[in-house]
Amino acid sequence: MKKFNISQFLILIFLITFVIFPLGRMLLMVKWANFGTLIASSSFKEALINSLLVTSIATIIAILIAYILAFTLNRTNIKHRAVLKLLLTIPMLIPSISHGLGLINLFGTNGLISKGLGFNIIGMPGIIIGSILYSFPIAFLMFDDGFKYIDNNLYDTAHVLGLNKWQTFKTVTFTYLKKPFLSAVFATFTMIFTDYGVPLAVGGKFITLPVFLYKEVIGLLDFSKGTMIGLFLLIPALISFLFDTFFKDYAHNNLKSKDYVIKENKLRDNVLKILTYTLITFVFILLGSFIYYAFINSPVLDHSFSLKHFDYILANNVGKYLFNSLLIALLVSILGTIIAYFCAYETARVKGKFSRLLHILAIVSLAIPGIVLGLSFTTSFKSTFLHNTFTILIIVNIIHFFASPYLMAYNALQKINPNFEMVAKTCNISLFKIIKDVIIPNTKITIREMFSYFFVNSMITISAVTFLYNTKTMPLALLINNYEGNLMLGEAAIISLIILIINIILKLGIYLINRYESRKDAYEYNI
Amino acid sequence: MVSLEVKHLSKTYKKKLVLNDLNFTVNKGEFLSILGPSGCGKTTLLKILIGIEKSDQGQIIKDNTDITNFDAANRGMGIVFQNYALFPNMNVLENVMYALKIKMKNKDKAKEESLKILKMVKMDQELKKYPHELSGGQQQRVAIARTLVLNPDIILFDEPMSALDADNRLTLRKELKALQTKFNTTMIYITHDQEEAFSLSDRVIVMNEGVIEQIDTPNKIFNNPKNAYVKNFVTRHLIEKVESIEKCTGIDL
Amino acid sequence: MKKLWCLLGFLILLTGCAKDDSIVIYSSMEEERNQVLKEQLANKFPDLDVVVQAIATGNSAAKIKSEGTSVEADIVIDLETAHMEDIKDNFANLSSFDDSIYLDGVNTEDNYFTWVKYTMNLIIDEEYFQKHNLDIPKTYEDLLKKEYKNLIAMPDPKTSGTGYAFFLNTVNIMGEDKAVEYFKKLKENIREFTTSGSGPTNLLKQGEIAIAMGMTAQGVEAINAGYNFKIVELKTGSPYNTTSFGIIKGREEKENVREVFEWLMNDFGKFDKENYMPDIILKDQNNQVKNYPSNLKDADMTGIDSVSVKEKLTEMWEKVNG
Repeated sequence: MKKFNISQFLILIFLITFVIFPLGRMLLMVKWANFGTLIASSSFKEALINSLLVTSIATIIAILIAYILAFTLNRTNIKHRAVLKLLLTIPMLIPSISHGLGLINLFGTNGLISKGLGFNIIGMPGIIIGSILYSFPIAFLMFDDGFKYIDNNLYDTAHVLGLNKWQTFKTVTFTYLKKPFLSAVFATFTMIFTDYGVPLAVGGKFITLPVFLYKEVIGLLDFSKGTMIGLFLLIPALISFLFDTFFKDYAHNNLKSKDYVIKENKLRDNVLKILTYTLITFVFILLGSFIYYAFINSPVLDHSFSLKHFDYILANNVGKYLFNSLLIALLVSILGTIIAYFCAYETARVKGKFSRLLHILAIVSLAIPGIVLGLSFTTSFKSTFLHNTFTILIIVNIIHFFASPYLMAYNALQKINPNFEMVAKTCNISLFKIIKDVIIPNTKITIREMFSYFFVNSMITISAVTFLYNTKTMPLALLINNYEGNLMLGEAAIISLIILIINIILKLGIYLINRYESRKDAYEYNI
Repeated sequence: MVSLEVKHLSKTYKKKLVLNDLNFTVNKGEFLSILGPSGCGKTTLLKILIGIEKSDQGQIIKDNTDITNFDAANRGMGIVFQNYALFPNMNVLENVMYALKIKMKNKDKAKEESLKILKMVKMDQELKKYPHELSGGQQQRVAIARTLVLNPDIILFDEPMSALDADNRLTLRKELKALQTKFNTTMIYITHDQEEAFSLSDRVIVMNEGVIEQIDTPNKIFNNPKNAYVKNFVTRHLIEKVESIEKCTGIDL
Repeated sequence: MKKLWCLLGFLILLTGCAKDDSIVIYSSMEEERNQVLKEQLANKFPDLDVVVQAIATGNSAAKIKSEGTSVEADIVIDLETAHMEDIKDNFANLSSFDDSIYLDGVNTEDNYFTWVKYTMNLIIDEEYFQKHNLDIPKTYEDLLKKEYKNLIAMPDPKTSGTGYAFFLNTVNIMGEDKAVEYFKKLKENIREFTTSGSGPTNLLKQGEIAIAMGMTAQGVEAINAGYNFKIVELKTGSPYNTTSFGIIKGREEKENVREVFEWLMNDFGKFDKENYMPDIILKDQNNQVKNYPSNLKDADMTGIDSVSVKEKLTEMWEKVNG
């Protein structure tokens, strides 16, 4: 079908305008002559080495934790799996800077825990722990998903062939987990490498690359230098993205696989159960510190109960900022889901000459750190009507978070019977109708996941929006930076909690809807 | 009476000649099989006949009308796919009613018609069941009902039984034949299974690498294979059958 | 589906709703001073919608530099003077305003006036010092003592005017190369080069460090709030810097902006200086801040207002690895 495909074209225009154009424009404004000076400067070298060091260590530990958790939830007889999974993903629901603040609350020089014990984690240890905290849930989800696609018949085969545990792991488990494993490694590395929330809060004088970029842009207003540093932040992300695009993943071709029979092993179960619950407890202690700080008068002077922090934020328009965040998050979720879904529909089912290009453009946003994206939008759109509007915040968030929901939709749509469109054609049913009545209902769960991803991330993001907001549109999360800078830890804690609660409500809502629906229609899982 | 006429149909795909100057007719009410191995072009032929793909050369004439450039929706043909492609989120009745409801713009009438057809395919006791709750054979019946309800002149089948086990296949072959006799619909049936083609069809087209080797009744093909290829194709299956009987019984036939 | 479109339409409409006749002030002052400003604005101009947007000085300058005169701010206050110099072409000519409230020689530019002058000193945690029997530092060299390891915080000269002032002062005292050497050594004792000028004082309050290189006014405010701190002036004097304020070019014609600006200069400005930033720049300034050290002497700040000096020193700072 070589007909001109208008929806493909429109989505293409959208992605080119808001991904390629701003980046290109920003790159053109760079003073490349200074590049040599930059990479020779000792502060740059220090920041780069620091970043590589801390990111590598944090990634290794986070991946290990994530794998152990996924293993625990998929291969042991632990109870309440769904609840544990939910609890383990709670760290994803607050901004990364909140993790940093929480760590200071607990382990700073005057921290609740560390004060008595006489140590603190400011500097490299703090960055490592904070980074692990917000990244392990994401890696965990990738592994958890990976376990689902292993063809469990192969375990029986391995057993019959007499392979021992290690050999079985190598030939069966790891083969299927290879792609999720490598994806998780790249994704985690990129996430930690490009984050500035945690190092800013807890890094002390240990400077990492994103903080270095932030200081160059904010401190010296040197956008050119900031962009050049941003290029280095792009590198792991680009590698990650190239890997995802070209590495063949045959695990996803497995549509039906029989259930894995979990063997009895009380010792293994108990050890892993303790580890899992310990981790969850730690997360809750962190959240608890927020609650503590929200209700005490002052962390150093006077630990008496006080509601003054609540009074303060109420007197300072917290409602308005909350409204802004909700408005942005809702519009990003609705519009983002629609655009990502139809983009995936074009590339997964319609194909055509632009679909490869569309696919790459859709995923390339994975490769762009938020702070770089925000910078590029500022320089490219400041003289347009988009300037200082909610619209630009919405668009930048959609682009920033586009890749994952797009891939979710892409994978789901690929799995759906390829013949539905042909049935529609031969029965004289319009394409729109068949999408509405058949395709969408059969991808409902994926659509909800996409919505949830856009929403939660819009609520917690600070990087891309930091250059684009103004008084009218400022989202709630940016208040945390403000309060932290003024040592208003109680207020910062309250804002973190508000964001957390809203995200929990959303995730709980979607979880309940999914459960209700799965009881109603069992067809969802039997396409 | 000729229902469908295919003239000089050719198609090249990625520099390979997939269909090479095909010529044949289909009679009204006939059960015609297109038999050949994978890759011989039969699926491409099916897609061109139904209007999802366009040929590079040639004509398709149905009931004296040149439908070569007609839309798939306007050819008066229905199709049953290998995996049936029933809508998983709709039950049996809803699946059958769906297209008819849109065409008739009247839900009650569509329901009435659908119930009639479903009774004829003996699926009227399973109206509320969902596709994943049906057996392969039941799904096929619903898929056929879904096309029948739109009253097509010709129904095309794309290897609908290749996913079923031997027992089911035999039962369904009988049912399909019975349905065809009842509705007297022209059926074009794509398959690689010689036994299936021979047992169901009035005539069989033996295809190989985009070319029609022979068009004839099963009997004539069996007794008078036109060339070595046809001969091999036919007898090979027979030999396999004999060998397996020999093995089982120990008798040397 | 229809419900979805309705919801979508409604939400999109909401994004358009925003009043446009408000006056926006970008303020880089601390929260407390901003709070007071908001209260006084509400009292003085009850019928006007004046929005005070708290924004760190670097962010403020970055936004103005990037967006130019279409930035949402109408008035910008408490912006580091060095930043202001860099972006002053975006600001309106103020010669039609009467700045006689200031001492002579304070305002030297057409596009902006001085907001505050602020000195900086060491602020030490007296309790910690006594508990650990530490000596009070008297010179920059003293700060290199091993006993202060990880106990000092200084603002980053790249992002904070306070930090830059300290750096410039040491350069003026020791010379460029020795100053760089000095900070390389001092880094051992530094816990963090904070992004904002109030960073070190905040860390001091949190109990994270024992010596803050920070603004005198903030140190005094902490002491008055009950913290057991002490202001220590080095033998070489108190470094100082200034912040500025102005009107974005074109906005001086906007309704009420002139009025608000004049009030900021003559009323709130005076109040702010007398109650928070007592270093004297006005003719008739009666400082109300308790315990503010009265006999501070200015350190050598030659070049503090020069953009070229700043550029040069910023490049030099790279060598300190921080």
